[in-house]
Amino acid sequence: MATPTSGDSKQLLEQLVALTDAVKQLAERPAAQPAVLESSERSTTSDRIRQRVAFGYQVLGTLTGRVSSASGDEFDVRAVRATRRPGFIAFHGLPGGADFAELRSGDKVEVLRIIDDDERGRSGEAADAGSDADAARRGGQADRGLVRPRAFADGEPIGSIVFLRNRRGPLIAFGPRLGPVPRGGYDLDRA
Amino acid sequence: MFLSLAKLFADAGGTREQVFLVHPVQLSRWLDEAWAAARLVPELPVGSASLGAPFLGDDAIIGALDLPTQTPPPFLLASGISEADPDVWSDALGPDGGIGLLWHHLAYAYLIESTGVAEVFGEVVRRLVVGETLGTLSVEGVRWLRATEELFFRDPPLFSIAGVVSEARPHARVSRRNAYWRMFGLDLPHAIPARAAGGGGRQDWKADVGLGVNADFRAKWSELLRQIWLGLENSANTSGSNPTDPSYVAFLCLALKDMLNNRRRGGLLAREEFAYVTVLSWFHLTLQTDTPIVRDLKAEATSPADRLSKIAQRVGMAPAARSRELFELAEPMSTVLRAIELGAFDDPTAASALFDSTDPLGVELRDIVNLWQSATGERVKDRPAGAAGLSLSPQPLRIPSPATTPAPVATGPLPAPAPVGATNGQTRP
Repeated sequence: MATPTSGDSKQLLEQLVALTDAVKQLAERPAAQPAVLESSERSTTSDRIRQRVAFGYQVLGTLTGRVSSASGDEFDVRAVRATRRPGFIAFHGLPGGADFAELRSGDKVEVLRIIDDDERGRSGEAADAGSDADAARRGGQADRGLVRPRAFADGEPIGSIVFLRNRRGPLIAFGPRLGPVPRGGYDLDRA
Repeated sequence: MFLSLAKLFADAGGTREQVFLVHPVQLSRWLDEAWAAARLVPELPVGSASLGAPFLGDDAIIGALDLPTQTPPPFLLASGISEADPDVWSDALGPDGGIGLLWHHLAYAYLIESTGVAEVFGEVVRRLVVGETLGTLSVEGVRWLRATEELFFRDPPLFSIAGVVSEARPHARVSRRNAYWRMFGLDLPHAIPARAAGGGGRQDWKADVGLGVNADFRAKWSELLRQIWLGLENSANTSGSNPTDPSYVAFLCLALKDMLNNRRRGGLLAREEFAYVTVLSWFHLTLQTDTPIVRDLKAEATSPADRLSKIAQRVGMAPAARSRELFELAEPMSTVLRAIELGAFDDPTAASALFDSTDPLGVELRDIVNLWQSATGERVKDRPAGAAGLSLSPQPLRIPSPATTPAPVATGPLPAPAPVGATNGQTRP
């Protein structure tokens, strides 16, 4: 087996330095060219829209009872039960890592961090601010949680609920459509 | 609907076949509960505004036709279907899950019925109850037979949501053809069997529909598939021109959405769609695996189409030649049309998801293109051919119009594009 001579080593070292410089220049270039960032940002927004479309499609398939392909779980999107009560919405069956709930109705959107179910008795401000108490739930230890909507009054219906890992995604589960808070009597959502 | 119930059984650790062990009175009651629970189906969280409700043309149609809300204690008992054990009645309203279930699009019923499955099973049921030409059944087979006859081959229970048979529309098979004609401008590829026609089943299902026929559906749907194929073909392009036009695809989706929603104004066809999809999903579920009745009829096979073919043979019939494609196509096409109706692809960026071959949606669209082409014989993968030396644009000059006004149906049968060449042993009308 041939061994490199001292001349070869020097040449290799020079090439390595040149390569390092080239990588450094390449890494610094985007900072000087905001246009590239802008383009990248656009692409991210498009990806997010496409991800939502794909997620919505999978939800449709799940709701119509479709069976996933042998190699995937595309039509087994997790469905979370939800019960609406004055001032809060309680969830049951949350998947691990579902930290945020997005409530929507038409154009109105509110993204809320899911807090631990035990905090139900605390004030809305304190609960929404979050605390270490829900750390266990965030780590996927429990499947219950709740949110306290501010944008949606008790009398307003909520068209859709989706559950996210972070504020901007990805989407990992969905919940039911919720009517206004029932004023006693039969509870349609039966959760 | 029964596919959803089967999935609930499977998710609970049981088998999909357990649906056939549930008592028909429970199934009938469950259908009413499923209808009422549709109000819990969420909107689609796509884009800047959620899309969705109403998914049946008018959200109010659910409340307009369901039973009044019961205050405790309930006057009517729940269906009580227990996913743990179908022989046990549980005091629970169905469907379980707190979210509501969505039924397939009418296109699903059309495609499944195009295989001839309803007529084949109609003959199977008839022979099983009038004689012994098909032999004897197992206990599970008897339960299937009882439920099938009670649910679909007799007058439905009074005031049931599935009760779309009356003196005004006495023949279910004719009423289904009427719905297909209105929604898609398509006829089933087989004739009404002579036995049923002799009993007054041969009515003109195109009469008195007025202008409410989506005669342009097939042309627009095929064009959409053609454009999606173009996108899929070029999705991996890194150089050269790319004839894909997401904006045009979005326009096509919008045109289809407008066209289909025109037939749903005020909740039209919502109840009919529910009832017809329910019937066809029962037969589809029967054929998805070697269920007890399939085993009793000695029709074990590896696909629904093969099972249907063997069963049809037992009763001297033949299913559609392209049954395999029709079975495979039914669910994906239904989901895509539902999404289109809800406006999921109205925006060019959203429409581009249809030909993203790295996503399950794009993969499914590729399957739909192949299956549709094979089922109908229509070459949607081919590009428009121009005269020698002329290059044609992949998109037509004009964007698609939402809906064309169909010519009024006067008398006599109108020519309709038939997706398959099956006759089910009958001559074409």
